[in-house]
Amino acid sequence: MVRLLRIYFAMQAAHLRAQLQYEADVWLALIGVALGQIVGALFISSLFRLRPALGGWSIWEAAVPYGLIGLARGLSELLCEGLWHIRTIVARGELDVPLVRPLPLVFQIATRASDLHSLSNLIIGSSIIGLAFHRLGLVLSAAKIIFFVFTMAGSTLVMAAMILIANSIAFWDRSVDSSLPSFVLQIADGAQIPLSVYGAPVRVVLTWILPYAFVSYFPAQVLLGKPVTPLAWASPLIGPLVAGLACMIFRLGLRRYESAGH
Amino acid sequence: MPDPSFSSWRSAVRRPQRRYVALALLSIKLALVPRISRLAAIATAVIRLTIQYSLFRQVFAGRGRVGGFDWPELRTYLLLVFLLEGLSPVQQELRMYANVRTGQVAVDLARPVDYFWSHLALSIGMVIGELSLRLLVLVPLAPAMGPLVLPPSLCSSLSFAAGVGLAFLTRLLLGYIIAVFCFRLLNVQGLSWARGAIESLLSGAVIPLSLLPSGLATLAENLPFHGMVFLPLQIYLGHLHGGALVVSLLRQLAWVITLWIAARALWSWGARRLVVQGG
Repeated sequence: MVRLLRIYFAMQAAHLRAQLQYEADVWLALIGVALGQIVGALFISSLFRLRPALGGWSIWEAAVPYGLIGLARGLSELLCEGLWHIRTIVARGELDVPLVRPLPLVFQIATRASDLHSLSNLIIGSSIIGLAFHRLGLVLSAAKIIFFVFTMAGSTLVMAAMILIANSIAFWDRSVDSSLPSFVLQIADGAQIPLSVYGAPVRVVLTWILPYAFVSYFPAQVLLGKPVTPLAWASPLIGPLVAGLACMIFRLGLRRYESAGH
Repeated sequence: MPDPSFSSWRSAVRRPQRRYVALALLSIKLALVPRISRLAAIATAVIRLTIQYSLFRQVFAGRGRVGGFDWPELRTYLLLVFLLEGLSPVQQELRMYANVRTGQVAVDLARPVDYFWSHLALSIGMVIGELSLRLLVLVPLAPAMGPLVLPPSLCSSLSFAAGVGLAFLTRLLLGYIIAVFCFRLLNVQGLSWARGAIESLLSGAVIPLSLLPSGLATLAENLPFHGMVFLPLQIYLGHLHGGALVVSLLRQLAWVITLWIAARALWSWGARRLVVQGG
């Protein structure tokens, strides 16, 4: 385990250093991601301007699930961006070498990239959450701080698992430029808004099919001290469960892998 | 008997415009290949539409008109945004960006076709394919959303069609301009994200511009993004008439011409700096 962690950090640090060689690219990506966050915030604030207590949440309360999605996105981009490369790797038959290396396959793919643009999501996400707590005059108790730390670990796993599942489509359909994975991850935008706003079908989709509500809405309920069900406290546990499911789907797909011929 | 594929190729060489028609037809066929990922992507887009629908239904609950829209109009607006999203030749753009990055563009530039017109032809084909798929999904889905608003007159319908054409060209040209930066950058992901973010808000794709704070709405009206979603849909819903309609369409046409000139100038500058290594 320690060896894996050492390799992991060495790989990711190397990717981050490599990116710094292309400064203009890094700045443009940071600005592009930051603009995405700003546009999302403008959209939500426009909705709350029209209806100040949307779904029973005030605008500053709603800022918490919004920030939580940003943080989870940032962490997944920083820690396992390589999962986005699955489609290219499978289409080009480049899994042959990783398959014979003495390291877990998903680990090897996840460490193929780490992106500095994640900093925009991390900085803006945490700033929004901090500002919201300041405006609401809330202070987190020790129990909630521990819950927050575990939630962030679980949320990163949920995001990574969704990236892994969506990109595993490559085993069934080798179109490298499919929009499916980005579409699946874009659905997380829906969970930036409190779930109580939506009708039952959307709530079911965002909780049980694409479980982004466990990244944003449920943890936000706990952190804001809103009335919660035990399900909300269980949010950190959903990450490992979905990650396990994602690995199973990946393994299922791997059986269909048939290199590219040389 | 001559090989039919060869004879069609020969006639295409004799009449250059046929080459572009052939490219567009090829692109439609490619777009309509039933792939699991494409169908799943459309299903995901439907989920996004359902989320937007559910959200705006709550915003409009118990209210008459908000920002010039009543609920049936906004419902129609969301459905048409889903359709207009199909006007974006994303895959064709990604292929172009990858070709510039890998140097494949050198081969493309050497082909006996103009690079811009062939990109346009391939994009038209891709968009026709994508729109057909989206329409197929919409026909059974639309009744579930409730009665929809139809254009109030034939003039609105024809102007809407013109608006959609201009919206497509604006999208295409913005993507084509971004490709120039591939000559100077390792990848254009950052630029693409920035464009996507600005475009989604200022075109009216995520929320009608009249529901935005007035400063942002005014800014949006003075940029080309306005014509990509909000303008055609305003025309469709009959919110624009007479002189205002003509001026809006002409203004968008002026944007298209400006972007086209900029795209051609930037590409001739970019292609001159092309260095492809290896062979």
